[in-house]
Amino acid sequence: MIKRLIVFLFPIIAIGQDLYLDHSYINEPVFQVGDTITIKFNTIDNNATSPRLVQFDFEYNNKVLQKIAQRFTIQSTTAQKNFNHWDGYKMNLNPDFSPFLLTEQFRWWAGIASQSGSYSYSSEADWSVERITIQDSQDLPFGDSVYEVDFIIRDIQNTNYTSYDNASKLNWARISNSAGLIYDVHAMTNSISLVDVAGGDAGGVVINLNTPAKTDHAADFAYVVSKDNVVVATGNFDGTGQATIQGLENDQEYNLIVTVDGNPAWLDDVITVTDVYNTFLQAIRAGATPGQIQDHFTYQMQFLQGEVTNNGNIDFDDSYALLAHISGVEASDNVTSVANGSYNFSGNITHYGVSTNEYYFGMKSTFTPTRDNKVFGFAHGLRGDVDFSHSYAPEIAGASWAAKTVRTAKGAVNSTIDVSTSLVNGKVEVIVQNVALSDVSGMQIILEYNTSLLSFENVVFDTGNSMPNFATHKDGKVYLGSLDQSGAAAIKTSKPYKIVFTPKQAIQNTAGLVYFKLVDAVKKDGTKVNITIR
Amino acid sequence: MKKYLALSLLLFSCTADTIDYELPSEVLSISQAQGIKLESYVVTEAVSINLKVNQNGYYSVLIKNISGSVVSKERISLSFGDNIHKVYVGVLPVSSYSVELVDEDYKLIGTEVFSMQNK
Repeated sequence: MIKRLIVFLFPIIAIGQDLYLDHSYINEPVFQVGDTITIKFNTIDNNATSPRLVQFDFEYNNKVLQKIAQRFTIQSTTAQKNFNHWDGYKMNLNPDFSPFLLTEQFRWWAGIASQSGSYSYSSEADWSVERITIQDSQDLPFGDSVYEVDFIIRDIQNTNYTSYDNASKLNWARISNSAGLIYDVHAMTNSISLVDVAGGDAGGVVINLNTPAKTDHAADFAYVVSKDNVVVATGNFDGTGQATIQGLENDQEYNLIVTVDGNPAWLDDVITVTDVYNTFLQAIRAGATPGQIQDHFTYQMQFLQGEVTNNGNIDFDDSYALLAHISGVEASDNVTSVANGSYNFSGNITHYGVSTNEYYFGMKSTFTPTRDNKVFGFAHGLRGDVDFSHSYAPEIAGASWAAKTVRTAKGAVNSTIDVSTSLVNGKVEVIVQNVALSDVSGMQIILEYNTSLLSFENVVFDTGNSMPNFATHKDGKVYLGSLDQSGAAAIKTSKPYKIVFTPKQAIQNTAGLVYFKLVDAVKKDGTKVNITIR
Repeated sequence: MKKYLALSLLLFSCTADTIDYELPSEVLSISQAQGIKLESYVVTEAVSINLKVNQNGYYSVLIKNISGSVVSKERISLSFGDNIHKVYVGVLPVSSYSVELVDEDYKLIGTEVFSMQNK
């Protein structure tokens, strides 16, 4: 019977504890890197104990916490107190017992009762160990803090640690009474982890640029990072459209804007006949019946990018300003071009392109690096570029509606033309011919020519009787094309354009004298046509 | 008198040959029956090019940018053998280009690559 009783009671005896040793911080979270925290130690009685000796080891991660001070807080005036400190050690716990069983871990360390604790501390540079010893001639009090240590929370950037977990641990404890009876001590909090530690060097924060223009011009895009209206970082994106920014802090909100750096030549390629035609169709807003009004644009951002006259609406002033631009004349200062410069829109892609009360057209300019998130995407767009040929087409919900890829660069179709330059009767003739698409309502060509050797003479159109054409000559470039904004007529495909130059001196051939800077076309329904010269 | 007449005939006959046919310099010479060769591969304004073909006819000289798009194209009549012409590059943006010679059926005869020297 007694044997059965012992067997029955054994688990209770084994897990019964005489007292607890607590180990906790006394500060209120949330913590910031650089904050000072205090860790206190105290005992809690669980079995009418009378401790006269309290001795314990704890260890802390010195890459995570920087110790700055310690003090005994026990109130007894008769107590003897001592602490020891070692840097570069970490305890190998007894694997047969829980880390919470501090007395068992003490026996392991001390080699008592055949425990093999000889190697229970090993070298470990990231850890420091402290041993606290308090002995008194009277029973030591419970509850009150007996020892406290102050630490500064370190920045774990550039360490091997990604969190503040297990920053401090109790290793073992020996607590005994006046007769030397060693109590069973249980750790109330065995290890301390700090969660939600904010701040600290964010390290490399990556900004990914989102725009189709980065394929050829990524390094032409610049960024400016500011905080509280103070610029903290500037630079250009690399050839892949990525920027890695140093010197930012975790959990701090920053503003970022993306712009085109300077006035690169490709700005004149942004606004094409497709943008003109689609802006014109939006200005008309024709529905299925004469009484209906229907938007032609399918993205919110098209309304922002297509408005180039500062009157707040898409109307014929906008389509005219864009048409003038492709004809080589700047009628509005707001059209993106080399002459005018770039008119930039940018924002975090998490919101870009969807208007809210908080963010105009979703152009949220902020980002907040954290310990877990240091990569952000920013979108960029250009004013006038309604077909998104050089602008990011937003992808988040609400940015567009049905058939969103139609009438944008994403929904473009491909076609070819044939060109040839040759000497004919002493003139240099450029023939554009064999347009491999039948329903083209608009086409635009920008030719650049060698002004040292050629003088522009004229353009001969054969695009159809009702097709409006345009041609302008300026600064060594010829801007020509056709656009029937009614969408009724299509450009004749055989030989719609012949551009004639007069040589200024005798030449044998023409290779390289004329450079096709841009060729673009649009179908009657507004679909962009990507033209390849055969 | 006969001696002078013979000498002058010889001189005129030699002169006529050099007018009709420009011999390629060593750097432009092509050993194959047809092909294309540039005088220099780093170019500023213009560069001589030998367009060698094995039959008279019309051909095209294409200049392509780094992404392979045609940015300039000349249709030209070439005679059998070497044809020394020029490729004018002054109007091209500073970059690297390929120049190709194709026949009327777009069959490639030869290709060369040149780079623009920074201005």
